[in-house]
Amino acid sequence: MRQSLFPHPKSLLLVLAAALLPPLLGVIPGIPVGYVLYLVCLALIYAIVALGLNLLIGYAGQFSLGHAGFLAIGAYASAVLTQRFGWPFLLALPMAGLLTAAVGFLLGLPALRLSGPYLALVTLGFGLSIPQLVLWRGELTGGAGGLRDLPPASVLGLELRSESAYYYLVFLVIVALTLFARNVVQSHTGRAFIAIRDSEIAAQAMGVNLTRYKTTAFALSAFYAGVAGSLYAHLIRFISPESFTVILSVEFLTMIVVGGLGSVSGSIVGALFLTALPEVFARLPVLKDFKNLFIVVFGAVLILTILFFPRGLAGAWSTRTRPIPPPAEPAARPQEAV
Amino acid sequence: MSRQPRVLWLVLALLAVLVAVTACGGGQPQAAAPSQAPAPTQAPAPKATEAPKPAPTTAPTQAPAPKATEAPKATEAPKATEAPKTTTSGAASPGVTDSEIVIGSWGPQDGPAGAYGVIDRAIAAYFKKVNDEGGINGRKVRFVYENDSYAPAKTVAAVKKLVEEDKVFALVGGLGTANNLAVTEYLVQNNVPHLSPNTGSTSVVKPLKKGVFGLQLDYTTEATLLTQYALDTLKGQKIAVFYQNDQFGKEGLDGINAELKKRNLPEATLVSYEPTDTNFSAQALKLQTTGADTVIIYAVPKPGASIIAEMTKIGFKPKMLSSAVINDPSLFQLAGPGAEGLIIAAWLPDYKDTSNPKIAEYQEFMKKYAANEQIGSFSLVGYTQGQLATEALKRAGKDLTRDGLIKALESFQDWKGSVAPSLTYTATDHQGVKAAYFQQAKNNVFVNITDFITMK
Repeated sequence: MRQSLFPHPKSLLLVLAAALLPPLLGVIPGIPVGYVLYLVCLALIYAIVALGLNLLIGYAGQFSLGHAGFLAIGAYASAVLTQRFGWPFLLALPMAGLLTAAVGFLLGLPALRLSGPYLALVTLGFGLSIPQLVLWRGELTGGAGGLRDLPPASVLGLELRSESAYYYLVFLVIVALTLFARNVVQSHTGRAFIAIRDSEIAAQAMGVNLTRYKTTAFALSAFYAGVAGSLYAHLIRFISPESFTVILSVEFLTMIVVGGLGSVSGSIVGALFLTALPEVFARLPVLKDFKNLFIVVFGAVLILTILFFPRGLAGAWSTRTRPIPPPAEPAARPQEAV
Repeated sequence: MSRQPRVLWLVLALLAVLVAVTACGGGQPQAAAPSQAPAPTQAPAPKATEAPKPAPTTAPTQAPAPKATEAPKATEAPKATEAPKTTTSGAASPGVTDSEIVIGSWGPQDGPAGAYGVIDRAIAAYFKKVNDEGGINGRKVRFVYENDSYAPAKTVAAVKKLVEEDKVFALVGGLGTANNLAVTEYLVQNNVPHLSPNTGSTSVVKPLKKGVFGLQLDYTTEATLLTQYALDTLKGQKIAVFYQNDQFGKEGLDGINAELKKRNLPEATLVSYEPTDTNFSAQALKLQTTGADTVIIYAVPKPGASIIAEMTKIGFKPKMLSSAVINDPSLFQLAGPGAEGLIIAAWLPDYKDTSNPKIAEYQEFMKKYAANEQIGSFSLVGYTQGQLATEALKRAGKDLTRDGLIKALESFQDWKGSVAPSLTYTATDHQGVKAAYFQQAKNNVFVNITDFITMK
């Protein structure tokens, strides 16, 4: 387990480079800044969901196929609060997170009695039901037509209309949430999560309160998705039930598996990788004519990752770049690979 | 915890300050930075006219009240990355060179909705034909279509790429109601004309938006036509509506009730279903007990076919009319003999009817330019959209500008050059087709029973 806040001085450089991304892009001629930044924003928003999902699956060992539902709750909460009730965005953003966390807490309750495929089914049902609820409360949520022309995100009276301004907002949020996730993981709570993941009975025997930590894991994970939902809604400024499909939940799951289960940086790497992949594929001259090739590659990436990098891209990267502590490595491996 | 936590925190704090400063200044300094980047590619960008440009052009056309929310947005200082594009609306149009016009579109090329992808491919084939025949006013058309897998978040990315990277002159096509709603505001703000968005929803074209021109029959118009036909030709006395409880169904419903109200008739009796419903026997009984002699259906193929089958089962045989959405090859298998006599309103002639010279021409075109694609209603839509765009670009003349294209479109007066029998646009009405053939199911195919009937 890594100890410092940033495991490697390189990650600070990475953060710094990320902060300078918009001006850097602006300098290079021919780069469609708005398009690239929009994609990066979207990828980072997905990365926030992946961070939360990884806390739940990778650390606490509880399964979820319903995170698109959490994303939807956050998005709709933020959209309705700002558009219908005139809340400022800065208030609606945490509120969306907290509301979603409350729902996550409730979903965590059945998780106390369920595990494995049964829990997966419950969360799947949850993810499927959220768009239906949106239709049911049509007068509030705009029904199938969705909510459009959402107010742009604004911070202290400053409207973040441009992609670069919005990028900084998303960037700040993800930096904060990454640090938070890292700290949670290294705290008492994180150790309790891991204990539950590895063996519920053993964890209980050690005095870990299952009820408390399982619901915490769900609430925490939902909080991340809720915040991401709010950012999603105000990035696209249009939401409809069609945007939050089960496919999206599966994509989130793929992100953390490819990035690395039980790895904070892996969540981000996975989200960026999987958002960029289809765009790259659409540009390759010959391959783009094979319409569904991307889906095949998606599957292949998943299988290859599981076969060759069981700890995901992040795990593969860190073992390659840091072959430093030979004695610690074999001991650490079995724990993290679970 | 670690050896250098203090240093890390310090750097982090510095970074936060840096980012905060940059973000707060986001409005202005960034406006300068990116506008320099694309400048070389867009020859003479008159900087002075940048900001005020979009305001006067968009504001007057957005007369109706609900638009008030959009007008102020357009007047604000343009977004950093958008500044350069808005400039070009007047003078040098993006996407137009001496030899080329760049046109864009988006639609699903894969996934569950992938079947729609043929529309974009048919448009591409049509432009290939146009180019082979010498292009438009001496320019060849380059058609770029993006795959958005039917997901609105990807549509936004696709459209930003088309506008910023490919620098499209206009969009033709662009599929999906939600997908359109997600990008329409962006397109209007950037003054990118959008011809014939592929959605039946009225909400994309109405209220009037500068540069957005609908082609296909929208649900409101379709419902009005169906109601008029039911009352005037079929002499229906009491109308019931079976509709899907969502935007699509409600647009149809509103169209029907508006027409009834216009004639001082009582509102239609309503029976709805949820998109997830699978059993429709209760709704069939309810329709029977209303005592209606005419049922208008606003349903997607499966539920629509099921309600017909259920009504037949209980011996309820009203006059049936339906939105053309129901017209799917599976309809007759699912609905059984009850579908006989069902009437729909179609805005395009039947793609199999080669006695129509325009359809013969279309089939000829498909053989030559899109041999691998299916001859069917989707590719026919794409073909029609290609015809519309080509005519509009021709009319816009050699000095091609976006405003010129919009003016050219608004000059369409009962244009009969495309497969769609007649097309009219005015400065205040951007909905294209307002008429339909009525078709009736006979021996498991829909045959024309009327000529092209225009809305009264």
